Amino acid sequence: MKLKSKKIKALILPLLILICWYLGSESGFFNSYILPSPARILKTFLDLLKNGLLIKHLLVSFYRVFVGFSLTFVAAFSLALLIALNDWLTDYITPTLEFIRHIPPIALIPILILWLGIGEKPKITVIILATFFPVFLNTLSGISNCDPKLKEVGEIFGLSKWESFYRIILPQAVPSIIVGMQIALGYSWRSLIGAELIAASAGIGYMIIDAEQLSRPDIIIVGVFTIGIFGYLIDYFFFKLTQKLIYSGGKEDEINHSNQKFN
Amino acid sequence: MKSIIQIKNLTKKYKIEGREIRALNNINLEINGGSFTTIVGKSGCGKSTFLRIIAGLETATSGQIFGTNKIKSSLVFQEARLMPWLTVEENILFPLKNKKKNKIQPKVEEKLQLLGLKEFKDAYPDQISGGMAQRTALGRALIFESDLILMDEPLGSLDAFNRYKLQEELKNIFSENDKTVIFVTHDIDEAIFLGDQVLVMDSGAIIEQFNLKKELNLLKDKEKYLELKEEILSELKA
Repeated sequence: MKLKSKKIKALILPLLILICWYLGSESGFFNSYILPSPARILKTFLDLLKNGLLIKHLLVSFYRVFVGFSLTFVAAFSLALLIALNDWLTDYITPTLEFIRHIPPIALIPILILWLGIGEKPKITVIILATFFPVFLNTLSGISNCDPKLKEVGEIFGLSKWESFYRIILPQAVPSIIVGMQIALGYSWRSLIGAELIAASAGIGYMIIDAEQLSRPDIIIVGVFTIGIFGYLIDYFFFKLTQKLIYSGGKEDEINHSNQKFN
Repeated sequence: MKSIIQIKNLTKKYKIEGREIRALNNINLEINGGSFTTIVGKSGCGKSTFLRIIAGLETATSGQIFGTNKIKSSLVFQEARLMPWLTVEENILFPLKNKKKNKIQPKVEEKLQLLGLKEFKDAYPDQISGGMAQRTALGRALIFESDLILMDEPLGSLDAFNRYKLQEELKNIFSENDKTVIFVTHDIDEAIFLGDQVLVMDSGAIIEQFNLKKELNLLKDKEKYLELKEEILSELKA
């Protein structure tokens, strides 16, 4: 019952906007060239679905996110591990990383195109640049901020350095690592669309910029909705997938319901 | 009874902002195998440091400890220090490296039964009370099967009711096995109730040593008990 009412609450605002939009379009208050009616958008959406264009562009974008994100995870996770376990490296590497962190990946697209051409490489590189830091920083803080009191427990029971790492340090860092991945997924989706807007021949971002040149605001709006909805879905499924891995120390408000005390 | 640990001239110095602090001052002590030694003292008297050095978590500035390298030891901390991602049962199993199910299952069942944790074996640390968490920590130390169990105010954070109950249980558990226990507390009653040997510590030194083994009736003889308590208290006040 509670869940149901929550879902209803979530739908009220979009529904209100849709009604205003519909009424404004029907009455001619909105210029249909600037803002097509909801009915028109729906029709365009179905057309794009039928001729396979939407799916094609979506799959291209998904593929880029998947590849970019996987590469990031491997690179950022390994580097974070390396630094967390070798403290002395921090002073050498961190200032450079801080410098790179402040450059928006989109700003690098022109030079990336010069270096890597206009194929898949610059887009995937943009995703890597956009997602690297959330994964890296969260993994690093998760591992290096391990509770020394838990590490002492490992010492007491004679755990070796390696055992202490995979039985204490890594599991307690999991919530932090997952949060980093979740933030990174959101970043990767957003930065990819940015990259596709600038230079691409396929992908949701390309579909939008192409529609602008063809003066098709309806396709632009379908594209924008698709981005929003799929961003939301990616986040949701990632959360569902990883929720089991997070012990309640991590995401407290999500797991609160199981928090009753036994005595 | 044979002494299994010998401590000679143990001293620990800290430097805090250039000032030297003596946490332990020339401690000499022998611990007999199978004994239950309680160390009582005010907070800051060095009793926890003493325990941590015996456990190998800290090193002494000078002096020596003999015997600990020949035996297996474990430490129960003041806080339960359970792994929050493991259940009660998994936390108890934590120290075991060989996790062959048929070998460890009877052991863990026994500990769960002994400590009244059976119903909670699948609960996570944040779902159980402080008393249950401390029982789990105790189970974890027991399954390690060390000869020496060190306890650093393990009941200190519990409410009075849980503390009394666990004191009784500890007494039962350790009167039946041959483990050697060193138990640190700031509670004089607890020290007398549990220990066959009570050491009184102050300013980094052992200032008095009471052997209670021969006084089996101490707990029934109220007058004698109060006399002893008064004596310890006056030692600490001096």
